[in-house]
Amino acid sequence: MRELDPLEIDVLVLGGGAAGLMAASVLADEGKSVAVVSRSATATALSTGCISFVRSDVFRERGAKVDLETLAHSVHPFSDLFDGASSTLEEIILDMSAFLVRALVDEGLEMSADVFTYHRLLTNLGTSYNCSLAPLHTAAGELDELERSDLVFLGFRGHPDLDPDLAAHIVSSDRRLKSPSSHWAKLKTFKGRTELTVTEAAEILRSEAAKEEVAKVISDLSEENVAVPPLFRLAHFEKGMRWLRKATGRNVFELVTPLSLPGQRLQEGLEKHAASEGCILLQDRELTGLRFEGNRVVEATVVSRTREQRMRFNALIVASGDVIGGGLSLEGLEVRDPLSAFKVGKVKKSRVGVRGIELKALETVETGLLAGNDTRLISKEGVHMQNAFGAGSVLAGFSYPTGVGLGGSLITAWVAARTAKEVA
Amino acid sequence: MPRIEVLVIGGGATGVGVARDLALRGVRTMLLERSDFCSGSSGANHGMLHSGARYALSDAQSARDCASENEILRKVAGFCIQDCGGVFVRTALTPEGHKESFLKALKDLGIANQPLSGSELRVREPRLAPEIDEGIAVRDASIDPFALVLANVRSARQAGAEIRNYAEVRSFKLGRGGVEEVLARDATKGETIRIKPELVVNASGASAGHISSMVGLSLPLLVDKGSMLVFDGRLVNGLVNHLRPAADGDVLVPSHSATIAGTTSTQHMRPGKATATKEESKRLLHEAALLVPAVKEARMVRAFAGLRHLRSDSGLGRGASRSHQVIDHRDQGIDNMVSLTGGKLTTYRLMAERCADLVCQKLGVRSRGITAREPLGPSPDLRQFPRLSSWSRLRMSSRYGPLATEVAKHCLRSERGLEVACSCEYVLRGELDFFAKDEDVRGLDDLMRRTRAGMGYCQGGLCVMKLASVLHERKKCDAREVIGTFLEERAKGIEMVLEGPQLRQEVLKMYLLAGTYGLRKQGGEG
Repeated sequence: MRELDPLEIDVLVLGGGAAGLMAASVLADEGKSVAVVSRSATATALSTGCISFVRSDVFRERGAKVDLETLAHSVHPFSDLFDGASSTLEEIILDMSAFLVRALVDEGLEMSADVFTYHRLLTNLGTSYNCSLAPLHTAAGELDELERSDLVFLGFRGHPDLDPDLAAHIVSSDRRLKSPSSHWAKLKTFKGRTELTVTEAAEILRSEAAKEEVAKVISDLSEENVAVPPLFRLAHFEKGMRWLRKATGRNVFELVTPLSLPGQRLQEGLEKHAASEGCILLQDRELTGLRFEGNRVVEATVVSRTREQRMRFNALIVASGDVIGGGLSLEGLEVRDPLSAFKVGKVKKSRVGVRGIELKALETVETGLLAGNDTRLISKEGVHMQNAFGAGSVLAGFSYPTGVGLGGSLITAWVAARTAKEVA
Repeated sequence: MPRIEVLVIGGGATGVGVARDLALRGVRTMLLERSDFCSGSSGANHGMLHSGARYALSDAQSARDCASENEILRKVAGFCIQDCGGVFVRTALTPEGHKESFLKALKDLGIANQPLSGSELRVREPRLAPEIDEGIAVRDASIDPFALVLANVRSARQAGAEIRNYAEVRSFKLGRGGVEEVLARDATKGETIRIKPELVVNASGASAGHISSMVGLSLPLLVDKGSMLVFDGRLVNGLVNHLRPAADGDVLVPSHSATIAGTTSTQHMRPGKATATKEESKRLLHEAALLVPAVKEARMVRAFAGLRHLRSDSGLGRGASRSHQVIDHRDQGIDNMVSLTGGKLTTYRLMAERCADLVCQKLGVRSRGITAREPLGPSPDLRQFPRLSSWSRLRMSSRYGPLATEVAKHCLRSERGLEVACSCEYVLRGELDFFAKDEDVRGLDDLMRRTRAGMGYCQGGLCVMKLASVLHERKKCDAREVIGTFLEERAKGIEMVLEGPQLRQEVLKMYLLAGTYGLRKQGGEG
């Protein structure tokens, strides 16, 4: 294996998903030199690209504002995590969201910005979905508004993300909505292909001819609100959706869709921002070893195929993801830290579980890295680390749906970055 | 309507085999199945077409029956049989002298075999444990029980039989000579069925005891539970048997896109639904790894259990005879009822024929059975459909047999027929739609049984929406309810294999369906 020259940086971030990129951007913004090491696809890229700060079962009353107390108690285990922290949770969420929204706008992804008023939106399956932050063109499909006028689900033959008949059927079991209609469109520009991937479809929809065709289909519909699957990648999203709305005069909005373009857009937006802040993004790399000195981690060994590199730093942020994403390893039912460096355990007050699903093994996701209330990690031997921090779903209690998904990950990343700044 | 002469109870392989046999002899036959066809023991096995070798030492009669039926089924039901062959391999656990007596027994019974050296074995099965250096090839094969049963149903109907699923027999009215009237109920349709058959055939498998008790008979029957473990991918090319006296986990069977390790054997008291335990899964994994160590790295898709019903005079568990018995209840005062016990999938046709012989003798019908030479349907030839991928053509031919041509046509004709609905098993939307319009199909499981959609390694995680969409379109099922129920059921079936990568996949699926989409059984949303 070829050894590259050692890299000296202020902060090494392990993991290139939402948490890692957020922490890296914040620290780079503060003038630190930061490297982000990541392995492969992230959970962020598979997500809906919408962000919540409150567990979805807290959203009961429509239109209500969420107060801080509800928030602190609903977002387990934030209430433990921030005891004694210098800022209140509300301040943290406001500051972090402001930073995030600014960062994403710079990269071409505009988000709705009122974090304490949540949105009630529709998924591509016709179920309802609650979240705090959503892209503007998704937030345009607010259920409260849809109740007052008519709605059509518009699917495109060959596009995998929306079966309008099924979505219309499922949504009609929600009595608040008038029976929505559904429409299948056949786009000539899809050339009769039945098996496009979302990326292929997005590639076709870059062309003016394809957009014109979509606009024509929408103009021929009689409904005021038109729900569409994700059609554009990040580079064309804002322009494409704005153009469609303008050209048709309809409220064209994108359905909340996991495993598709929305998650990829958020991932890409965060990556672009971290890069523009001067972070070094190292992909396809694996961290193989850590060197400790007392209660500090001082060096890491990073491997990429045939090359090996030592990295020296003042602070380490571990944001490598949960058991599902592969940040923690899983043998049988036992969760382990693949670096064999930090303490793994369960959070005390467990609120885990998806209501209605009885699956004992799901409890495995409760287990993660343990941390003090400022996200400082604890070594395997029980030493509280001075310069190693956990961020995102790798932390016990923050794996979705134990935590609240992206929102919880981003909050911990923000706290980790703020604390790491002091030691880096 | 002309009077039904024979009522067959039970829609497993044996029941549909009897109904078809009788219908082909011109007997007016009706069959009632409580649930879906092939949903009991006939569907819950590893799909082995025995060469007979497995029983050569323990049960000569079963061995002979298997050997002859193996050849017959290859001729009449070739579409659902994959002639992958089988080997018996000698390991450190094979007792001294066992191989020699095994070979002698095969010779005495006339069961074709061929001793193989280590290198010959390795050419056939590269993944065998390195220390295995001797084996014997036999004519074992893999058979698709669903395809076999559905082809029987279709053929029986074409011959004039009335075959109904989801019709449960509720009570019998007895008269002087025996059964006078049978009352059954189709719960989903809310319909009561009254039949006055001349004769009743009780082919209800593990429930045979329950049915006979309804007419006041006690049927000596043992129920034995066998658990199996399904691995993703084909880890063996043909069947791999452990050459030793019968024991748990001594065979690996390639089946579609999976490998099935089987089986355990424990006595089962209640005829209800059987489930595999975590301990059984562990034991099967351990035993399978003795033959093919790669199973340890393979992904476990699920574990399941089936109930074997054995003749009570056959001994217990492993040593039990696998032969079958056709019981005439005349001596017990019911002159017009016949029960079937024991038997195996490989010998279902023979058992059905013997039963039909007895029935015909009792009814005074002279015609002879023709199922040993009459193919279950025309051999499909899908080369006429170049628009289907070669993989789709191959899959449809082996899965649907005589129906394959119709299914292929439907896929090409229907608007979204060529969309891939289940990518694990490569099932097209048109295939789902073809069966969803069938009156036999009531719910998601029925559709899965017929097409294999949702049976691949993701266990329906991603295609469940497509299944629900098709069902809604054709049946107006409540899709939310269908998906919620499905999720709950699946959770039960996979719990015991949930660890490592399979757990990862399952949790991701739960995140998505229950978390993101908020789909769960009682409707409602979070």
